[in-house]
Amino acid sequence: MTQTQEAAWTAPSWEEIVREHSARVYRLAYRLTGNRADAEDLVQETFVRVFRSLHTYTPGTFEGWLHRITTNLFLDGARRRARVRMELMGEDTDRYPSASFEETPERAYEHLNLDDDVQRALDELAPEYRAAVVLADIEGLSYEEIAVTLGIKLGTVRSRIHRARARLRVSLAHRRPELSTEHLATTGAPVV
Amino acid sequence: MAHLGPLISDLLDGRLDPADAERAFMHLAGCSRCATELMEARQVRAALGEVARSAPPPPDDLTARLLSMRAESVPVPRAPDPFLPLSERDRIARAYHAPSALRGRVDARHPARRAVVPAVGIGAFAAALFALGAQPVVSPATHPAAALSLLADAADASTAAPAAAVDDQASLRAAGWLLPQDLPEGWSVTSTGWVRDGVLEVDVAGHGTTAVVTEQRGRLDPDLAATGSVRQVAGREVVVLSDAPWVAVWQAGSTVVEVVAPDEDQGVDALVAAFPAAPYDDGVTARLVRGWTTVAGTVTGS
Repeated sequence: MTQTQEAAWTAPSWEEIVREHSARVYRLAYRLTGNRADAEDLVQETFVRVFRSLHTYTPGTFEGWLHRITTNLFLDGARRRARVRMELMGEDTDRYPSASFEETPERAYEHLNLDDDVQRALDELAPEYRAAVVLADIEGLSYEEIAVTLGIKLGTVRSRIHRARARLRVSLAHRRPELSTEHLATTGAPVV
Repeated sequence: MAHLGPLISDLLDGRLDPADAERAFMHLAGCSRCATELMEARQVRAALGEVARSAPPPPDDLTARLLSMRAESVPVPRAPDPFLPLSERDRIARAYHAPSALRGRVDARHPARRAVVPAVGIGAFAAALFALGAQPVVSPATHPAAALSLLADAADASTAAPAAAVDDQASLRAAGWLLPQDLPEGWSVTSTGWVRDGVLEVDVAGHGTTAVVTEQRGRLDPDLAATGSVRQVAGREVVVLSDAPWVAVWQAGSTVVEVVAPDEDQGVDALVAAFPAAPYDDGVTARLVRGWTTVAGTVTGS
């Protein structure tokens, strides 16, 4: 059995790919974009790209590939938006801490609990930092995997994650009492 | 020892070797600032870990929409050769059953040609073939903005389609699309794909620049020669619509080929020469063959 498995790798069907990965890609897209509408667009864009490049895909980690496509499409989009904003606002843009996605009316519904507080804090990060910390602390990727996914050096991954967390610490400071009692206690974070 | 700084994240993620970790702990024991920072960083990490399990579920229709991308993809344009074996056609169909995604679109196409299967007498059938064989007049956009955006898209590696596999190109060629037999030195195909039904785009790169070749079935709009200048490039008549960007179109049999490049230097002539050229054949036989192709494609293809 194992012998035949090795011998005959067949490309997964489109349906298998979609069913197996769409929820995960959506989750990543949601954390990156910070709202459902943009997340949906990003997922769709990602799968279009997957569909189009499927014939070039060779056995390997499909998830890594999806991470890479999703994150890079997100960063491309964020940069495009930042450029547009720069043109609209001129130098004022420098005063804003990040080029995050705009607040939309629907966001109001989504800011209800810890999840939303964290999401809002993520939204305040510049896209590059957000991508690094989301891949590390939400998707659970190693620094090495993140370096490959984002096409950056290990040292850059390290400093982005560190600076992103430092920034999140400030953004989430108001939740601290809750964090330490309610969540930290139940998640069993590794004790260093 | 100075404050830990980024070492805090390293410590948290278990990326310090034992000796460095030991030094960090020694520092932490005597530095409340770093100790607080570590604690807070750990809380942030825990909060993110918590959140990892609670993203909103994808909307119900998202999966359905993704699944339907296959069904909604572009039908393969009819093969011009009616005697092409079926298996070959099917192979092309599969190879190009790509989404209408060259520009990221996933909307549906209308299978308009399904309506045309005349089942009357031979004469009527031939007449119908003759009518079907009259191909649309093609008038490429003459505004430079269209050409520039085409080039920008092709040059942007992140949005350009990935290079089609070699056998894809072979099947395109088998389906009668014109691909340069041998690209001149310094040029290579970066991607091939359908812009929309029946319009093939081939992006080529070389000589430090990018050029976009677009092909579609039809007859070059005769009025176009009036708007552009007709020039001899590589021994054939091409209509040059614009110099910068350089846009040239010409008739190659039943296909209209358009080449867009930033300017005329950089070996574009050689690129044009690599594509075949032939006048449009409006004779009865040619029209019957094209009409037959359309019908055969309708019956067996899509």
